[in-house]
Amino acid sequence: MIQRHQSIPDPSAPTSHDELDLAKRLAYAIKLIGDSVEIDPDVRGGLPVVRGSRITVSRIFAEIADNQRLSDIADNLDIDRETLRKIVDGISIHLDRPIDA
Amino acid sequence: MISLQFDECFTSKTIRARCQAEGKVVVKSFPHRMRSRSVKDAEVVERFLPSESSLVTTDHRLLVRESSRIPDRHPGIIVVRHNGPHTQREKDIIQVLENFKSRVQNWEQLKWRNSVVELYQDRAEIYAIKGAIPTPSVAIFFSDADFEQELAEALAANASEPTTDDGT
Repeated sequence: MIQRHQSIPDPSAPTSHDELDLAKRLAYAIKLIGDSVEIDPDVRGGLPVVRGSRITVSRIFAEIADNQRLSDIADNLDIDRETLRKIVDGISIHLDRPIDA
Repeated sequence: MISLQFDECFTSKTIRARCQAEGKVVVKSFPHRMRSRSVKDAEVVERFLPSESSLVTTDHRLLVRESSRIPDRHPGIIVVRHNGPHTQREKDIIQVLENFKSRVQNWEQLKWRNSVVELYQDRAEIYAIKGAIPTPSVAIFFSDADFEQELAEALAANASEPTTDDGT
């Protein structure tokens, strides 16, 4: 006879393992964004820019929304492709979690 | 032939190539040695405005933030603006320039000196810097029948401001 486990964990409830995973992912996202994005009140008035440039991060996402490929954006704007990848990847990870309204 | 200095936030390979293919102006790209670091707004103004080339940028806040550093007499600043709901993309920049050039046959002969010109999809707004304060001159819509003439006159009025002793 198969013994049923008395307390089946609620799959929607966060576990300490989930929280640790989230913390690690957030730390990774913050590192990616920190490596690739710069915020300086003296550069573009404090708009987030691609690190080492005067090109705003919002411009990159606007070009992506306009169906431009990341590699084409990097080439056209003369920006390091890996830096752009880090921005997109970092923000993707950062948003991949429940956010309190 | 006039020369235009492109700010890094304005320029792209596509835009540079299109301008060069037209062959109506000398295009100065953002200096390579200034790349790979985020050049501060003040440095853009201080480095490019003493030159003979009009500065072309999409950074419309530059005028407000750095007006104290912009001399009354300068080679001209052209700001390509965007007033749509989405963030400005390269295609928006190209569209504004195309709209403008379609309304001004000899746009390359305009006198940009001492003017700050904000170009939108449908109009040009012209300012002069007077004592570090941006002072509106006129807003002219592309749909105005005399757009080209009004623009040329407004720019010429700013360009004819007397020069200083050092010729700037």
